[in-house]
Amino acid sequence: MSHDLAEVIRRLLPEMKAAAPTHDRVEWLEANWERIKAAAFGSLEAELLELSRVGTTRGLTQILSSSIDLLTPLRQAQREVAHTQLLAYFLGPARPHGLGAGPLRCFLLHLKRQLGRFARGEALSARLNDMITKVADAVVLPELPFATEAGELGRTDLWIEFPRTRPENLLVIEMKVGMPVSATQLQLYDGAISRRLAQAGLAPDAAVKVILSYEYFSPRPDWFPTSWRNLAAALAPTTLGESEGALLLKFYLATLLKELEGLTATPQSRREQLRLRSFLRLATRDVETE
Amino acid sequence: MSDLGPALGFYLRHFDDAEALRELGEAPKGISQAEWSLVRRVVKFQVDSEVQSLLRAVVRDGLASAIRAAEKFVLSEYGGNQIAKYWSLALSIGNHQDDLERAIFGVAIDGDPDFGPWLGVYLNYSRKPATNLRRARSALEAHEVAFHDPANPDRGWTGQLVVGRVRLVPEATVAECTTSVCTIATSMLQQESWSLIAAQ
Repeated sequence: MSHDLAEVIRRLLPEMKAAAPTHDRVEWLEANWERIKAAAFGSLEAELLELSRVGTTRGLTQILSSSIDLLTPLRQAQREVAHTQLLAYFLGPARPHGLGAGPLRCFLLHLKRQLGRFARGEALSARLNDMITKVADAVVLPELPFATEAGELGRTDLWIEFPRTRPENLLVIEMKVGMPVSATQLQLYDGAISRRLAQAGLAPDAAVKVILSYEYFSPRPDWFPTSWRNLAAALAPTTLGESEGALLLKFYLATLLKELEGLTATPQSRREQLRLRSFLRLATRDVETE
Repeated sequence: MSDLGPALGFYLRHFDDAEALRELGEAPKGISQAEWSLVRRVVKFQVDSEVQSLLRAVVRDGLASAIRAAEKFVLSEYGGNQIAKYWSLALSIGNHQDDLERAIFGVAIDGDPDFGPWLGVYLNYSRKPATNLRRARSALEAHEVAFHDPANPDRGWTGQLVVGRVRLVPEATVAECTTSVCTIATSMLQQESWSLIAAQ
């Protein structure tokens, strides 16, 4: 085949260009760069404007615009134990923040929306609905110690029983900041959960187990993943009031979104714009389907 | 003349937009699947391959030689996933061939809106990283040694301290990158506070 014909074929058939040397591929990309950018980013700013408008109604924009957050001044933004204690405080319906059961209820609603698409989705939804009805009387226990039958010691991050007096449901949350979650660790927690369920005379499906991390990942199908950004989106509406508790929670959620998730209300790069759009799409979609 | 690689050169010339395209999954409207496949091949796979070549070269010839010149031993190498979302390669350092790690030095390529793309040397620890990094930060601050703290888990940074970095420009050569990495690492290893920083 002549060089000229090969060149024509390569131009006409993009599939053949995929086999071309790197220099040719880069040359093609340089020549088509403006068209590709226009296709990828053309409507980005308009969509961000609209999403931000909806996000404002849920308190999201105000949180992202905050110039300060709760944990950075203490250099604790990357410390898991700080998040455990703070989240236990805000999710506790009887704590003095003045938000009542609002944050815990919002978190349960978020889990119900997220977990509905997993296997056993209907059963999980029913279990979470039951928790929601008992949310005002829940007890939230951070860093609860346990010992296995083999004598190993451990602590669960957040252990929530509904209701406190005679539990009928259990929600266990394992939190991860900067470190991966291990299946071995979860196995230890499973033992502690099974013992508690047996003690309370509850069926195994009375417990819902959640991993809260940046990566939105779980190594086990019976531990459900969610992320810090999802948590912040779920709790944001409770920060819309003028109470001290709402203000404190707003600054904590600013830590989650700005320090852990790297989001900003004023993105300086395309990448930051895309990440913000992805977050706002998720956070405002939940509003539309509620 | 740059020998970083054609795809990496393109990526650096169009850093902001290329970074964003890496994260897009599906083809945007108006771009065919075949064209999108070509775009992805350059901004993702080919760039990744050329970055790994660059990192191997600067770690082998720059970082490792600085460590040996400081009469320390390179004990082990860590693969490219310490910075989970981006690119890095790291070596652990010891004073003797006794398998006692004193610290981990890594080379990473990253970027931010203000500084642009950069090549840097970072400090980490294999044991109790959070505790040791806090101690190292205090030691560096006490001795007025400048460092950069990415602290951005969405790019994989979880507290590692960048003890020196240079802008990564499309015109750079592998030799220039190697020299920069060697200079940064040598400067840190020769710090009076090094024994305090390295101790675990």
